[in-house]
Amino acid sequence: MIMATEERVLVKPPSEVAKQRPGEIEDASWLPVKVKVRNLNFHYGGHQALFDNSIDIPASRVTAIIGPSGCGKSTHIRVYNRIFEIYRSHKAKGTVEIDGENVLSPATDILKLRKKVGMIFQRPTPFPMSIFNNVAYGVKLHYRASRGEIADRVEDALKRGALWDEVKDKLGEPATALSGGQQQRLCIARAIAVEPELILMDEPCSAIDPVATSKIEDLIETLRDNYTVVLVTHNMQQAARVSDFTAFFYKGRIVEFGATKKIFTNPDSGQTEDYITGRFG
Amino acid sequence: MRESTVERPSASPGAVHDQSRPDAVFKWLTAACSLVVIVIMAGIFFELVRNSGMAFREFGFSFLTTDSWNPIKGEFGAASSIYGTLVSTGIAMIIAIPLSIIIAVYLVEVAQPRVSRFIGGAVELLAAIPSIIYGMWGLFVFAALMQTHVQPFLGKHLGALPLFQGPPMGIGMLTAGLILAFMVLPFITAITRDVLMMVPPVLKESAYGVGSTMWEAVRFVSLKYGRRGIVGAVFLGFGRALGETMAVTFVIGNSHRISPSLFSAGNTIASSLANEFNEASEPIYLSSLFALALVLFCIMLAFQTIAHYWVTRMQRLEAGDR
Ligand SMILES: Nc1ncnc2c1ncn2[C@@H]1O[C@H](COP(=O)(O)OP(=O)(O)OP(=O)(O)O)[C@@H](O)[C@H]1O
Ligand SMILES: [Mg+2]
Repeated sequence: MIMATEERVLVKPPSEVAKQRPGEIEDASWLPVKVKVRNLNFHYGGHQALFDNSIDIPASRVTAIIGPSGCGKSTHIRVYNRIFEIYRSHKAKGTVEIDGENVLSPATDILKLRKKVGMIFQRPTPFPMSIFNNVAYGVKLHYRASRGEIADRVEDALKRGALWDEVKDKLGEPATALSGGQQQRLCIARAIAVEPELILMDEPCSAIDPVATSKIEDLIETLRDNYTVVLVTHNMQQAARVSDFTAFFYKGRIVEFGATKKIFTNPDSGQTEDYITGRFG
Repeated sequence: MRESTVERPSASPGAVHDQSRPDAVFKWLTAACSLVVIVIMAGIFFELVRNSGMAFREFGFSFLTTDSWNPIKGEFGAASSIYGTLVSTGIAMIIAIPLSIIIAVYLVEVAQPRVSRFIGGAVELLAAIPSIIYGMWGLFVFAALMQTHVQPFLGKHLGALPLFQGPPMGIGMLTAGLILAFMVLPFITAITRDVLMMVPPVLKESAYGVGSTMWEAVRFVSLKYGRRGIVGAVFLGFGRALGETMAVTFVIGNSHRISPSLFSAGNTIASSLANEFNEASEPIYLSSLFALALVLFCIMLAFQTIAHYWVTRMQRLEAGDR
């Protein structure tokens, strides 16, 4: 198990790092850290949902978060972009540093934070507007751009969201007319369009069919090159397929965090092993 | 109707299984009750047409376009009443729509839950106040306020516009429009609030998630998501303002005149009817009042049709088949 250490040194040359595919990475200690979480506690009113979470999410990698229902996976990642704050009774304590800046500090510019940290939800959430405007929405919020620039940005995001070919002839149509899987890729494109650095995905495939799921997995595979991705999933195969690192949560605590290969083949904790082999959950 | 051939398992053993007879009774009973609506509707329409016949025969189409209303000379024209109805309703909607939406947004998105419940309750109470009370308050309190403060202020700063010229009398078209705005406001607010509360939390979260401010999330996502319901609420308020009688009768001044100034007295179809039925001694006078009522009926009908068309059109657009 990799312990959260204060400082990390990049020892391997970046070219070699970039070549590795999911499952090949055994050690996170020489990767730069994107998100450094220390002693994160979370309360829903009187109910404590997270206990002393500490974790280092490596940059430019896919980190999966697994664990039984209700263990706090969603709660944990919802702290990273402070989306929990729109509900008054939800409170987070501790530190969450993204690129060294504590996002929980009151000084954080929350709009900039959310531009930098994109989020994809369990169900697709197309805005009630056209396909084009869905993707343009965030761009218009964060950039002063001409029409042409926005159109270019939308096209680029839809291409990177692996949706362009399916929608290029109907950009003006309502986004709600797309299929569930297409809507989810649209949401990913919408998140990508504002050029985030970190993308949080909370069970992005749980509401869509297997074909659409594999498309999104392929998409995550390509995102891996440019973004740091945190993926919450209930699907063990999915975690094993697409992630480089895996964190196992149980009852609001992070039980184990390490290279996906190790977690799935030789976990340190008996609880992790029980969960992965399906003995509970 | 298709009879069910599958025997349903019954909760209590030995229960009777014959479902068809009670179903037939039920079917006819519900149909008969629903027929009442059609009968009332048709009955009212028929009576209005029958009783207004004399006026339309006498004045023809010009009944709608003349604004002279002179019971002594036996001259009747609906133009001033139609004008007053539309203008007072227009003023009401111009004020009530933005105000209601802003209040609803405050209640749902901004206010502390306790504050929201308190003000929300007040909004519902406001909707429950009988219109006669709005009228009395409008005449004794609000009209005085208009006369001493609001109208002089408007006259001073916007007096260049014909809309705000003339002596501040307190009562008049503007006052009636404002009272109407207060009356429809709670309806539009309450429905808009309910519509905004129906916006799925995860949709709001996505809006905030891409970095929207509260204003942007509300303006571009929540309101847009609920726009069909909000349009419905606006139409409801509109219909109510068109037909409102008591409160308007108190404060509009009741004069059959078309004046460009909103300060001057006017009338609406409903207020004329309320005021004048007692005085209508001549058959042609009475028939003209019926003709006015028919005009109001038709305005309502046209407006309902438009509202219905709009709402279904939006529904289709949202479903994406176009
Ligand atoms: N809005 C809320 N109010 C109160 N308690 C909540 C709320 N959301 C979650 N919880 C509680 O917090 C705990 C963690 O919930 P969370 O949604 O983070 O779990 P999860 O791991 O994402 O589960 P799942 O896999 O089912 O999505 C649970 O015990 C849950 O009941
Ligand atoms: Mg969850």
